[in-house]
Amino acid sequence: MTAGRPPGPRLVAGLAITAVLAAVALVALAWTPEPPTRMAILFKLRPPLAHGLLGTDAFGRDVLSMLMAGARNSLGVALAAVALGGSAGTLLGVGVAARRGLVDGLVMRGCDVAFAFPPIVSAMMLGALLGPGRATATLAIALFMVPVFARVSRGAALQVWSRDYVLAARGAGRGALAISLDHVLPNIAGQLVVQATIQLGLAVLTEAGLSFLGLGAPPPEPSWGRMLADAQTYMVRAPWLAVAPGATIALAVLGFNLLGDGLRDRLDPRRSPGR
Amino acid sequence: MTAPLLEVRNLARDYGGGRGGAPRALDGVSFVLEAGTILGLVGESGSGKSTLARLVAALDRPTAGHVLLDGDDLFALPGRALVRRRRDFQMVFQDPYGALDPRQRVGRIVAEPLHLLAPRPGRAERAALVAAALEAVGLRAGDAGRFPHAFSGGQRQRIAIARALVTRPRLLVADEAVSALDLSVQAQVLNLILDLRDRDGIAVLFITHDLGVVDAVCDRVGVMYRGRIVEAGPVAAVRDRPFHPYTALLAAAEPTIPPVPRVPTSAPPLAGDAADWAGCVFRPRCPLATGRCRAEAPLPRALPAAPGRSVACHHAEAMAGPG
Repeated sequence: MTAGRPPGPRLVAGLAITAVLAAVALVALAWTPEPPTRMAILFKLRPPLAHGLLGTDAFGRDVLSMLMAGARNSLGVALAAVALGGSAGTLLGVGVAARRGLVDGLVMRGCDVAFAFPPIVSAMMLGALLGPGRATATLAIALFMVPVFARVSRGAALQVWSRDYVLAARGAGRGALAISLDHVLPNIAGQLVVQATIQLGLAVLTEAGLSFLGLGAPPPEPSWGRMLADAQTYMVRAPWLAVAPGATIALAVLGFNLLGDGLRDRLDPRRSPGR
Repeated sequence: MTAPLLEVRNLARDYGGGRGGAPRALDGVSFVLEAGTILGLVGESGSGKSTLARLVAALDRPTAGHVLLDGDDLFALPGRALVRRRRDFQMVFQDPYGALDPRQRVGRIVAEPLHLLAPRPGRAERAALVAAALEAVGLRAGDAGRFPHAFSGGQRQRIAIARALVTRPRLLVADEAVSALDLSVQAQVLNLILDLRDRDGIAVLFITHDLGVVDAVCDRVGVMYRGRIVEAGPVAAVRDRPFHPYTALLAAAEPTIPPVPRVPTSAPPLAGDAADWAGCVFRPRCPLATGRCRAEAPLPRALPAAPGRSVACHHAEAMAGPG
């Protein structure tokens, strides 16, 4: 199949960026240069390299350590949200593709409605209901992912259902569930992986937005979004406080998007030139 | 008296909305297929061949009419009973690339219909049945571990046939099963189908647009035009002396068969479409059409001179007449 083709530059770059971020998040589980929540007022607002690699914030906390611990938080929330929303949406999409008819129409119109709510808005409603926190942020992003994955998987599944091998499976007496498991899911897995990767980038961005608004993980736990929010006050005196988390968020989103694009070139038969 | 293996009675299938005069993909088709024989169905694109194949394989439901296997109406059977009967009839599709799941190994593809057997065969028995089916179509048992993309078009069609054979069905529905293959590969697959008939007594409903292929393998032939069977009979008889002007036209267009001189080969193109649906469907293209053909749709009938054949044409006697 694609075994002999060398990976494209986007795939390599995306893989490198996401691998580094994932490694940092994993390392942060066990070790950070300073404890990320320890305040040292005497050393507050030190510029990069004057105290620690990336300086300190208004409470004298080490910015690099906070970023590392924030990676754990951001990537963890994004991964959990995409896994949760992705499986629920895929289940829905593959299910309605197998049934069609009225259920299909209702679910798809429901997805249209769900798309009308930006994730920030639904997170604020959820936050009001459940109280802000990491679980609320995860749930809000996951809810936003459900219609996205439902649509993608439904479209891909309908294509599979139109193939002769599905007809042959029906001729072999297989039911809709067996066909969905044995034929549809394996054949749309590539497209779903691509979609999940791209949505991871979006989830990181959304999580940062929610933390920025105070709807993410509560303080003192470090998160990229709240670091950005806290930095606003010191934008002139200590611009590195905003640049560090901002650049990190941008890098993470870029990495996931590059990885998704690169994977699409390899896995998605519709986009790959001359299979 | 025993029922024939397959009997199709007055089968009709409409597609699309019920607007007045909407063309039927299939209209009042009846025929009988005896065990151990091959019935060819020929016709041009849109004549309803594939619709008929799907109905006979119970992959679609008819608007009206019946498909009887051993005298049992497939569409009157309860769902579970129909699934159990599926082991007796299996289908082979036109496109050998679309008919095999690219993510499954050949062994799993061929084993899929084994779900229909009761009791379900065990692992070892499944492997043995798959190996036997692969060898029956001229592949190696070891091919079971490979993926479809490792095979050529002709080999893939053999895999599809192996899948259809694995439950030892009595009826094979082959929808344009050789049309996508090269001529030399076609010959191999056709020989395989003949072997299946002679060795295992399998009956085949062989659907194609290629009269030459029908000539090579079929015992009887039905000629379809716009959802109807306009002529049916033993292959040699129909080929040598068509009673229906459409059959003659089809034969004349076929390079491997000597044209029949009496009918002009340049018939007017398919015209009128759904507009004039009354009367004979072939009238717009027919060189023999008269006022009666406009007023009255011809029904299939036997000619006294030719037992075992049927033709749906008011002027069949003119075609059959001396000369």
